[in-house]
Amino acid sequence: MSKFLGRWIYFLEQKNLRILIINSVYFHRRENLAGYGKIGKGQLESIEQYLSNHNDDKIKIVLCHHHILPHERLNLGAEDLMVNGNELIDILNRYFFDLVIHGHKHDPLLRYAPGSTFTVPVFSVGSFSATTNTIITGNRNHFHLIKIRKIKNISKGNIQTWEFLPSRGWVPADAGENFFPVLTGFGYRGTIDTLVDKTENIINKSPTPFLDWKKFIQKLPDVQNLTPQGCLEFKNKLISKNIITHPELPKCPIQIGRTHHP
Amino acid sequence: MSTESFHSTFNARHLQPEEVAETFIHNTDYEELIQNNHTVLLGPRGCGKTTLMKMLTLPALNSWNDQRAKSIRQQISFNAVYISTDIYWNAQKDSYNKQLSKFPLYSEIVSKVAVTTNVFFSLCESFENVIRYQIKPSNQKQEVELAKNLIKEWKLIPTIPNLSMVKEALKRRTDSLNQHIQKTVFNSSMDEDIKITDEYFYLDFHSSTEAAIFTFERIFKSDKNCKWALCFDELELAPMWLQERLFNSLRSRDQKILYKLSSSPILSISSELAATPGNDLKLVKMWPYGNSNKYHDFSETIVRSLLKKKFLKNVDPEIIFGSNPILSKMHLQSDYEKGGQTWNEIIQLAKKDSGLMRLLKKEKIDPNNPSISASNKVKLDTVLRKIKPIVYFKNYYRNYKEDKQGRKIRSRKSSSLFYGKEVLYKICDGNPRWLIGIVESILKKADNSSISKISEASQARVFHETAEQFNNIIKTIPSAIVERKNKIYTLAGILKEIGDYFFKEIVMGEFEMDPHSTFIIDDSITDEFIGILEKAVYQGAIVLINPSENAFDFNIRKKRFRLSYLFSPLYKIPLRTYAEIPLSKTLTEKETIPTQTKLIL
Repeated sequence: MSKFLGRWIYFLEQKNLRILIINSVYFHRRENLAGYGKIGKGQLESIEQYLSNHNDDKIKIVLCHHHILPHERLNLGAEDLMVNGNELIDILNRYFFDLVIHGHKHDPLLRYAPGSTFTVPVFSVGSFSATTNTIITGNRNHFHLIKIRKIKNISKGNIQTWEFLPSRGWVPADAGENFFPVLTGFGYRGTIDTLVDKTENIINKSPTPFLDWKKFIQKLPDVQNLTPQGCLEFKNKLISKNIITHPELPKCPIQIGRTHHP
Repeated sequence: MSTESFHSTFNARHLQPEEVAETFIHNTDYEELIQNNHTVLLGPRGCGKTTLMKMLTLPALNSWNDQRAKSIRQQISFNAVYISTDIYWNAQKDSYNKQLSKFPLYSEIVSKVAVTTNVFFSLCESFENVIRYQIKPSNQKQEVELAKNLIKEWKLIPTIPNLSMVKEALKRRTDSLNQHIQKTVFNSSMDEDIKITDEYFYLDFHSSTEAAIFTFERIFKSDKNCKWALCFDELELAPMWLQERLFNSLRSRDQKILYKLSSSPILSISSELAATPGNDLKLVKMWPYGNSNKYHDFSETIVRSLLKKKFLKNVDPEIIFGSNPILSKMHLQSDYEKGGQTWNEIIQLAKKDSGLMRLLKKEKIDPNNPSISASNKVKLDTVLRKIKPIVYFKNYYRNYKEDKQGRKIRSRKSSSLFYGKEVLYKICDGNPRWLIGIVESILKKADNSSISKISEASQARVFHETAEQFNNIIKTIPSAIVERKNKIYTLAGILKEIGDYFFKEIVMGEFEMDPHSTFIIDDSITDEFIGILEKAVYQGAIVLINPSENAFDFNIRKKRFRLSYLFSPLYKIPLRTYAEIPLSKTLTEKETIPTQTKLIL
């Protein structure tokens, strides 16, 4: 059963899905309080209590407006961080939340929250129909399709992103390495070195020193669950082993292979 | 058609070979091109050279849905390598913002690297095509071996050894070359300062291509007797060293590589450098010259295919466009007999034109009843058929006036002389790009649901608008301006003077059976003037009537030309070739008011 915890916290329950919706602008009652987001201590307690009573293996997602991790890049400022966001992260990590989706910053960014064991992925989705961010940060408007698979409490996700170009409409994101990629993901919890070793093995066993990316992904699907930062690290470590993709990651490659050095 | 799209809409340059094949119409020029010898296609812009060249490639040949396609695929005994000229090949002259003008030696080296890189890229595409269409089953290990060889021999950056990545590496070479140029421009002041350490600067496109082909044939065990044709398209845009080298290469025989070259009707190179056409070199001139009706059937086939596309069934062009009384061959003798349309036109003009009256009397033809019996067929051919267009034009345009904006202000019962299927076939001088543009513009006025004639006025408007658009293109040609006898001439201005001269003589002047409608580039025309007239030849604005018989033309001096028929609606002159006159006689020599033609910096 879906349930409101007070007026500003809502748990949406579906068969395999639980969405925790937090109104982080609840405190915006006066102008001096409207510069940041907040979740109150009492609300955190309510959330914790609800989760302890509903500790299952559903896909769990948080939706809120403000960011719970510092997001200061592109001169976007630090003062608007959600107050008590750290404590919320601790709860989400403890209850194995699969994803936090937030807005506010108009700058798409995907990373993991800090934590010692399990860490929840946090996705700043950017903006869908804003105009100011295109002037301030150069970011375009975005539309994402998020797919999450969860098996035995281990979830893996893929994000496909489109961006809006005036006069062309929504097209697969392709603004370059400094912007959000067309395909990314989350949920790979191993090391990049392990992925690189596996990649080398796959190429070494291949009859040709290259493979179609689709075939490669079938053999090593974890690569699809790297965050943009992880993908960049993966790419650079591959290059040090004379392995490249075409086009270069984070664009969606057609092939991967070992370079020939005459 | 907007001015901008005049040349680009139906330009095969922007189409993939498979797309070219979808609408390709076979013609005799193509038959010449597919022969197993060196071939040079000469013709103005838009005449279909690129289409023919792309139709040599395997993707085009295998996409071509025509009853002849299978036999032509079997007949072609070479693998085509299509190479489109890039303006960046002209490193010193036209590209890189002329930053390289102070480095003549380096410019030539850069130009050669750019050409070599493009040739390699095209060769890779051909290798891919041959593997795809001719080598079955394809073996990736063979491709890896070939790619490793190419990476080594072409001095490429380390990359994944397959052909698609070799092409990527070649793209990066272009990028690397551009970076080299920028560094050179900023760090050097003359050729001697420039250091070239990259080995790829020393590759030669011909020898490296030949070596790569041998490697390909060794690895894939393909037919060693099959030749490879390097198809260089739009060579008039290529740097001079390349034009000279390629035309010189046409002399060679018994080699692995054939050349298929396309260029403007007039070659820019020195006459000693080009091979002589003969058994090993075929020359194809892609424009109608003399009294050639070479492109009539080709044009009709194009029109029929466009009608079929529009109405989804076979439609006789005459139903849609009607027939033109001046050009129609179907009217035959009845047209000249009592009550016939031409009979009436002659009587009408003879009443007010003393010159025609005198001519008819001299030829013993009654001006009040100019019918000729079937027994006197010679007179029908030598007099009446010859004067027919002039009679119609004089009748039509003598009462014709324009306001200051060039709009017709006095109309006659017939809206124009430019309509009908015969005009369509003739006015484009065999240029498919123009023809498709005109037909599609006219068909926009047709109702999809009913197959009926489009009004003569609508057709005439399209012909006139197309002529205007072509004229606007001519006006925008860079550097087409010259001074002669204290008068500033633009190319468009020259063409207008020629057109106006012929109009005055043919339509407004004394009636003559053989007035002037062509011109010879006479000795009083300066080289500078000739330079911009050559641009007109390339654009198809003037048409060479007497090209050298089975030989190249290197100069337009003493050659005979006419205005493109596309200009006829603009200058109000018939689609017919009459006598010639020295060009200088058509040009007025009144001094122009000094006009600023250049920005003073």
